[in-house]
Amino acid sequence: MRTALRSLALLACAALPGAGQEFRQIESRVSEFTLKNGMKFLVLERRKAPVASFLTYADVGSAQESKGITGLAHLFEHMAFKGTDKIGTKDYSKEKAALARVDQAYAALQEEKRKGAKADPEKLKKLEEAFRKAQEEAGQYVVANEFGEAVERAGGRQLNATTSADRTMYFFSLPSNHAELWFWLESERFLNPVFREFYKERDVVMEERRLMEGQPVGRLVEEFLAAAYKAHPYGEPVIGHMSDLENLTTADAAAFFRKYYIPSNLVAAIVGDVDPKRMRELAERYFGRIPSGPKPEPLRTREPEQQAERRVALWLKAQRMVLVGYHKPDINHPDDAVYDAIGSLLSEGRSSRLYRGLVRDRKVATQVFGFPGLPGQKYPGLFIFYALTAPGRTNEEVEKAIEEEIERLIKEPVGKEELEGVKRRARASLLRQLDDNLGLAIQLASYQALTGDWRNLFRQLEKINAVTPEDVQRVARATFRRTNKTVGVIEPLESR
Amino acid sequence: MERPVLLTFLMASLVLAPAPAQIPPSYKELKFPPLNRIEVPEPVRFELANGMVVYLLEDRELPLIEAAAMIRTGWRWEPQQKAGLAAIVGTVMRTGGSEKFPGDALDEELDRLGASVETSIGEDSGRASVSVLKEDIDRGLLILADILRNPRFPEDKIELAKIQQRDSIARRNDNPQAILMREFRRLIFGKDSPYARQPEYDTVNSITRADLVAFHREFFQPENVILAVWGDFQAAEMRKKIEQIFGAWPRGGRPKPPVPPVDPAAADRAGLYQIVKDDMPHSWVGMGFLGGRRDDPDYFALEVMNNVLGGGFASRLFNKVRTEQGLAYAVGSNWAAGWDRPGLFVAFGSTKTESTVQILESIRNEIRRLAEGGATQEEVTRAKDSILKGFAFEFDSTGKIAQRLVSYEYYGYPRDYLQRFRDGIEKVTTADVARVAAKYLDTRKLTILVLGKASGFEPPLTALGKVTPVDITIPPPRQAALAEATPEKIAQGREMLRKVREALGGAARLREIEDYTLAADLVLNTPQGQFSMQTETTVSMAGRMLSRMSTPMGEIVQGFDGEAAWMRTPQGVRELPAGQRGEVEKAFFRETLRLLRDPDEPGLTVQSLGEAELEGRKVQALAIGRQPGDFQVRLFVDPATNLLAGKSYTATLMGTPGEVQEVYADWREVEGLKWPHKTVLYRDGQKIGESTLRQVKVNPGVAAEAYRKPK
Repeated sequence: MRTALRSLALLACAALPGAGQEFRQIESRVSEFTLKNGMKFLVLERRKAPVASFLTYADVGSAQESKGITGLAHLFEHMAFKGTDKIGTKDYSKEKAALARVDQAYAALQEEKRKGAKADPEKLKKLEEAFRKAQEEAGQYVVANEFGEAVERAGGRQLNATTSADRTMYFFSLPSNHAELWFWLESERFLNPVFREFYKERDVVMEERRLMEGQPVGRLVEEFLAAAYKAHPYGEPVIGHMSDLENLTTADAAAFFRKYYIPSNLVAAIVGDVDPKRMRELAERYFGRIPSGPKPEPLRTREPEQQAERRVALWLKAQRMVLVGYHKPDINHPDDAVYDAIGSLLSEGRSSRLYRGLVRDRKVATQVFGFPGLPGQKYPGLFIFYALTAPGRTNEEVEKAIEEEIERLIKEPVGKEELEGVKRRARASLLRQLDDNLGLAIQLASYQALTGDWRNLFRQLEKINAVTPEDVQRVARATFRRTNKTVGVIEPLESR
Repeated sequence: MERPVLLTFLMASLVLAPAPAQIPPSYKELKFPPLNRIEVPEPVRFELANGMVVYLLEDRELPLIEAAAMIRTGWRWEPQQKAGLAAIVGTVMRTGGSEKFPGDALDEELDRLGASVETSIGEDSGRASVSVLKEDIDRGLLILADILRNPRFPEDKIELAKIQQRDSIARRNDNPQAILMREFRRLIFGKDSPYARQPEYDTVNSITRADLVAFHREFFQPENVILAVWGDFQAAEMRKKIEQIFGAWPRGGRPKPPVPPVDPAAADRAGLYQIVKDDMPHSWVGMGFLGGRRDDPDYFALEVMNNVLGGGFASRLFNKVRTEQGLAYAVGSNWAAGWDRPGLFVAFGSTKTESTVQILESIRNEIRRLAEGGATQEEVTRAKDSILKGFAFEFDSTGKIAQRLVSYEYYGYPRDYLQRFRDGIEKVTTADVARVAAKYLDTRKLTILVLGKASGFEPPLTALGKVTPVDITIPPPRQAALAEATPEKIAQGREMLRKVREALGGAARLREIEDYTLAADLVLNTPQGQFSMQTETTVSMAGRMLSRMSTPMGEIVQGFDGEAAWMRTPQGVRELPAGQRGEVEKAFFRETLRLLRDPDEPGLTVQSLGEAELEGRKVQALAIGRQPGDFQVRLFVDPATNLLAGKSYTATLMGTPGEVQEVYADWREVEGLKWPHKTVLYRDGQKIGESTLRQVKVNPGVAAEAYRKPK
């Protein structure tokens, strides 16, 4: 019955004059191909300016970590900027031997450290010195940050990478005549990465963790996710626990690389002033060299259904903040677009329900959003409400006001006009995204990797167009239940 | 398990045969074809009869139209005592809308259209923008023109904007990096400079609708507006639309506001400064000095110099401090040149507490090394290549091109400034970089700011020289001024105070009190339910206080020895900065027994406020201040018993400043004095807790040393 209704709505939508025209046109300019080793490529030609963005999406994130190695997916992302046997070295054969000595020295030091109170302080000192010296020796073969420098020398921009629970993305943009530079550098990166300066980079990541800890919201999110998940790795911080970071080894990184950085786990997207035919030739030549490997076993753990409301409170020298989360299905669930529509109703614009209800009318918050997709979409994630509590108001008042908005979603069907707004905004916002090479590359690769077809970037719009008021009520009722709820708050510690 | 990639694998439509491998052993041997021509769309520029300037750029790729205007206004022109006014004007123009387009109706309409119209005011310019699907452009421009010209500034939206401002003030010490950059700016420009002052509770509270109207009238005239429109339209048609919609806006005729000068002393602020924030797991270090402008002849060489020092993935700071030393994740430098006033040069980094001094030295050393030795040819080439070879990115969006033209015209730069910039960078030589590095990068002139824990650095900060503390305590709002005190009201007030003193135990007994200790159970209402802790407060009439509090984070002790205030937490002991010390002094001042002991104390101002209401009861109110014009605490007296019914004052409680009210009950006599055994606490009218007195000790004789900061 419901399916019948939806296809009817889809038909009605397709019949609208002009709707989706501009997207079909873009769609027709995307070419895709898969290399023999399983690596997927998406190429979108956009001739606006002689530049292009290049992205590799690795279908591996912190959700692939287990206890003891949290933070490894992200540390690996850092290591992918350290070069290979050809980039970043003055003499790889000598450096290789020196790096082996660094690992040995580290292992010896760790062994003594593990004795804890029984460790011999004299020996420790010697081993630490040996480790330091080994690193110094290996360091003399290093050409620091050659990968980044090569990109910058070519006039590259936006060089970066990000790791989330779901995936790791590597990207930069180049003047389009330098496209081959990306093929050279990026294929080398995943052909033979060398984990040089590993232990220094671990220190850098620990500094990155401290930056997160210095932010009240960073600390809140970490505690909140730990409460929301008890089995699935979505409950673990992407940045990793300090004690795990302190103990990660190059062997951990190498094993992780071998297991997850296989070509069939990678999607590349290229958007800009490029010739798709040429891109394909280069892809075959450069990335075709990467040997294929067995697909890693899917994650076994599923988060069991939540049985009880969960709450965490952080007492900090900071102002009040509220997070409320409800478990929801992953991106491939038939109701995925309904969650997007609910997020839009709640948070988009000043006429959105949360802004009106909490900021403008009740004045209990100064900022508030409700959206699906934290910490990821590949596995069942959370629908999140996030609010900054207004001065002099309590977190309790904010939570109560959010409850009232949820009640309204469940009890009253959404008005036709309000839902029309959701649909029009979805179209306008997708259109606005089309003017950004890197943004498009991220979207195409993400939809490809997460849903198996990049076209779902555009299909999602049709699915949002098919959402009915009944869908919103049904999904809200099923999701926003008391025992499916996790709350995290910051309460200010008296500063004086 | 839903594994989309597996699906991809099965769906792979084409399996490709390998091409003959021709991969050079090094990327350096790659040969690149010439770059495709950069096609720069030709803008149409015209000026309306009323002086408004317009740029049009067609871009038919997507069915969208965008418009963005720069308006000659900014918070650098707002009065200091109204700091926050410009930002509030920028917000309320849109949220309040105009008579024709009231804000709430606009919100609804724009959200339905998937469109946006926004206004805001920054340091040196205002911004107004429209983003619409092309069919809605007429509506968008009409709305924009009307809210720029005829904003309504309704009171409810002004109050909403003020709440947002107060919230930003309250949260401004929650983000360490933001604190560092803000305070660094304030150190260099001076905290009262139009380029560094910030809204405070008092400045925001003082802003009225009349202020908004006057500010708007002063700056919003067509000759102060430069508008760019780009997207899917035909230029001639768009020009007609704009002439029609904006043409009727009459000239204002007010002259262009002059650029406020930067205090010359800003060029000379060398020193080592420290902000203590105990709850940080790391430190931030920033160092730098007053910089220059974009039209300075040295600007191009300075850009290249900064790129070598701390811009990007191959800079010296990145290579040394991050990659080689592993000291920091965030490290870099910025030569932030101003358009029409000197900018700032800042190098910064963040590291674990122990290595604070190490990172400071390391960054300073890189600055010194560049100043003394200049950069290598290699480095200069890399920096120039990175700027010049990426030039095509300046043209990858029509919006970027259009808004750049607007900025150039707004700040009085030539229209071909981008080309001049390119040529300028092209000409920079290694010798130029060495020259500007030697000229500008003087490490003796550095203002160095450290933000983090008070101690735990190895070596300590004092090893580097004299450390000047910077207090970032947020000043609480002053209380609303009282009506002029008449001699009658003063006499009534003093009389009432004497009655209260008698009811409490009498002047003679009060004068025998040297010190006292009150132990109590405090229950606070939190969303997590009720939360109890024990408190013990000792007050010495000689002007000292000591209080202990058991909290979930461990015991917190706060002391005041009459001069210095300090706090001990499980993390350690530290002295409180001046702002927080002031709060402690006020707390001592308003202690009931202290207030009542000598109502004729010189300087003390007392006045009756007449009848008031407290929890529904009629009471007599009086105000007491430490000196004329200073109003500190309000007392409420029960007319039946002459006992205190309550007290109110402004203070920061549980991190939030507000009007705190104490309501007393359950009076019992202990050692010849009456004490309220129950106190209910309110903040801004909301009940937040309750305290029950467990024990009173009169004259326990606590030694003066006990109030001093522990070693």
